[in-house]
Amino acid sequence: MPVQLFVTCLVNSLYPDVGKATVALLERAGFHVEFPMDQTCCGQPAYNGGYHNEAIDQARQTLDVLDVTKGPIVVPSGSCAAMLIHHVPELVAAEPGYAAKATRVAARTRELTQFLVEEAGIDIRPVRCALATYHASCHGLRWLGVVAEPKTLLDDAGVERVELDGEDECCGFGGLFSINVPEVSAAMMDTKLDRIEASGADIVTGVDVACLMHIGGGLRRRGIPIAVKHIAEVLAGDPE
Amino acid sequence: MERDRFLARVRAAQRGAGLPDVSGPQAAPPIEFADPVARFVSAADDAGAQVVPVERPETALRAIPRIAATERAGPQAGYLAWDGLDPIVPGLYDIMAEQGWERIDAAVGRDTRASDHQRVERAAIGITSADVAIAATGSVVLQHGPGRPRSASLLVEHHIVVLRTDAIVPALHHALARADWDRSSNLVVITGPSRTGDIESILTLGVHGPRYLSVVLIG
Amino acid sequence: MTTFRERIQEAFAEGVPISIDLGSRGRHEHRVSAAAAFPQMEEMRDRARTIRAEVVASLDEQLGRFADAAERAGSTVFFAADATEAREYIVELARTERVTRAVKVKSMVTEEIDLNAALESAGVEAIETDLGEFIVQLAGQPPAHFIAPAIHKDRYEIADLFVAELGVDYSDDPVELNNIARRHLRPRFLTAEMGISGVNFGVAADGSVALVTNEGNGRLCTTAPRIHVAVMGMERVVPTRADLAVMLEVLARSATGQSLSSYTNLVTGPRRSGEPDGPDQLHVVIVDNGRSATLGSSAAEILYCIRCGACLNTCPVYRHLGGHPYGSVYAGPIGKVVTPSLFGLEDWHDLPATSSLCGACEEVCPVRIDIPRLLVELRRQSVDRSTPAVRRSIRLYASLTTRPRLFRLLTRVAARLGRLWSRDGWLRRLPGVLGNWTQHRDLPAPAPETFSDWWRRNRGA
Repeated sequence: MPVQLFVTCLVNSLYPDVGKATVALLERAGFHVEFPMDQTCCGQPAYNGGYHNEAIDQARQTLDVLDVTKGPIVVPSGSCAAMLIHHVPELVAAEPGYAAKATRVAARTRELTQFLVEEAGIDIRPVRCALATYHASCHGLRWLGVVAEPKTLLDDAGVERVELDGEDECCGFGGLFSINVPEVSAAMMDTKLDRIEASGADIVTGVDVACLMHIGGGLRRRGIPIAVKHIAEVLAGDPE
Repeated sequence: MERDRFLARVRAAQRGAGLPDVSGPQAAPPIEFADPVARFVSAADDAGAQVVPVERPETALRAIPRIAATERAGPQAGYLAWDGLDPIVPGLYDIMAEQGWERIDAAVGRDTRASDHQRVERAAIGITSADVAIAATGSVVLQHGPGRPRSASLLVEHHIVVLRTDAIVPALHHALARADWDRSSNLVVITGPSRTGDIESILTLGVHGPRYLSVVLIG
Repeated sequence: MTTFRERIQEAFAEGVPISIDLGSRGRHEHRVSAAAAFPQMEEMRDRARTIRAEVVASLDEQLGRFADAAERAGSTVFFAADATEAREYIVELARTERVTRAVKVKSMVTEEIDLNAALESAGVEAIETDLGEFIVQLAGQPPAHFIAPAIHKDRYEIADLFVAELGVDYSDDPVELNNIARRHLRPRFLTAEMGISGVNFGVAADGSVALVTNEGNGRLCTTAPRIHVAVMGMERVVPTRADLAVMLEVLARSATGQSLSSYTNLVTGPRRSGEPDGPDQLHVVIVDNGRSATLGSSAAEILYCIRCGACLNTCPVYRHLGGHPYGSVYAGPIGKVVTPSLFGLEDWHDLPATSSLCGACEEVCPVRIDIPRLLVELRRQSVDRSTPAVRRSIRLYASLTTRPRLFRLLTRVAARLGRLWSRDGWLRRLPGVLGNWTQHRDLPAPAPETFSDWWRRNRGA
């Protein structure tokens, strides 16, 4: 069965290893992975910032690319998946020709961990991993209901895990928020980092590279040697 | 602004309102309990009220002066009470008088508010009945009116409510639906004593209303 | 006026009291327990939302019915188009009735219309009686929270304040501080000629106003003085008492985690003949003050709000900031929509911008207001007021992403540049607006090879 990988612009440029790990997981599960080459950005930053004309342009580009493909569209990011599933259809509702495209694409779009859990018979291999903790990214959690899936997958893979106090509290990233109001964003990040340190974990994982980029950048600035890995990387094990 | 112009402005705005479609439930979910009395007792206790279950009115008659006697100010402070408690606890006013408690007139005159307030405020105890009580929340519902001063459950240190178990209904909406509330200007649903968490979120009782609430539950 | 960011920087420079985080987090946890202990909570929220939606969609009719019923019950109803009309009505009433002292129940709408200042300048002493509000009034501050006005103060500050303002002996025991306030305020309740309250809900069917308090000050202010003035935001109507019950089932649970507040007080007109106590006059002042404009806007859903404060308690921004930097009586997530809606986006567009859109507010809202959607909508309306550098960057990025070939080329170039520019894959200091990022955290440099190049190299046709 073909699946389309919508890799997201952040993964494409900053975290290609997350894309490779996602491909490995999907292929191991028996899917034929396709990557529509003309994909760019779903438009989420512009949408959240209120730049809706720009977001509509980006959504149209994304819809044109994805609508001509077949099979589920898998996204290794809760927030970008939420964008395609919930916000894009709203955004282009009045755009001639695009409302139907958006509905079709939304119906096919799946966040990676939900896709892996809901597709029966996926075999998650045990991986070697240091003590991990899970941060629940807001958009996956609240717009898509990604709650149990990542933990189920980590547990199935035999990853030793500690719960993160306040795991569902925002890390303070928030896209443009982190640039527009850095003081508050950083204060929220500091609370999150304190808790990550207090958890005793060696690795923080999650379903959204944007939040992980924020957390990872903060840990590095603090000089704390806690690794930050997207859940696809954890589950895929060491890259070949 | 004139009422008509005010409402016309609202009406005009309503037409352009960007409201989401809401097609939710047309009724509230039901709230029922297998044993409403037991639920009332535990919920009232959770809310910080003291429930004194008695089987018969005669036992209530002995219990109420004992509760009143715990009040530091003593009988000389006097007490406020609703009229019409005798049918529920026969002999109540007499026994309070025997114990030295003077029943203070709670009526506040139109032109004698200040002096009447001084008299009423002295009372340490207030005794009322409750028209209805709520199992879910442990609340008592008091409808004020002639012979039923608000102050008896408000200005005193200790409010004592006499309640019959047959007045307990499952939930708030049953209570609000049950009686002819329109017959007076005020009713209050009381859930535990006066409280606050305004200083460092620390629970403190008896801010402006009664510090103690006792429910003498008959039946 | 200062910007929100300036006020934030100022607050951080002074240090945000830890009691704000502790107090809001604690209330949030109480809400979570209360919701868990109430099996009907989710369905009740659905019903509450439906009631609010129906009311707001037929507000003119509901308000008309409410006013008729209130008048039948003996109340005087006044419709105030704005804050000025509301203030003038109440001040004029105080003047004709020779009122020298008014006791107040904490209420957001009277804060909104700045009533206390108007009363004071008319020679009427206006005394806040909610313990927290009493404390902030003594301190000369606005409330920092809908439900817990003094959330930013610890007991030691309050103790010092009471010594300085009330001339009492020092005590930092919360029970004794409470007793001091009780002793101070009791005679004032009993001698004030006017009691002023807000309205939690007005019941259209019978003209009652419902007032919810824990301390009992709501009952005292509406019982002891001879005049009761109830100030109601025009959206706070419910059709029937059954609807009122639904709203009350979710209100206290959301606000403090109680199943009901200590006192739910239903006032139906002034006292009637033969009633031993209660006010002789009841004036209901229905306030528009920007609400009809809000109703006609795309943020109309905000009028469902019942001011429980749950969204403040769960909001990570509020927890780190407290209420004052918001610069408006309406703080927190809901405030970021209410304030620009009532008082103008032009002055307040930086409030909706200051949110990570984490959605925690919507999760707890008893009437399920989609606050993130409204924040995004307000951002859309004020997009031309955003920081020019950010605006240019977003527009540039958007236009590049609609040209896939160029986008691939540029990301490839970025990958090369990033490798040269970064130290071991990380950037520590960046110019321009990106400096706002690197002020607090490192930024990963672009990877040496983009995913799409890797794909083309390994899997490409």
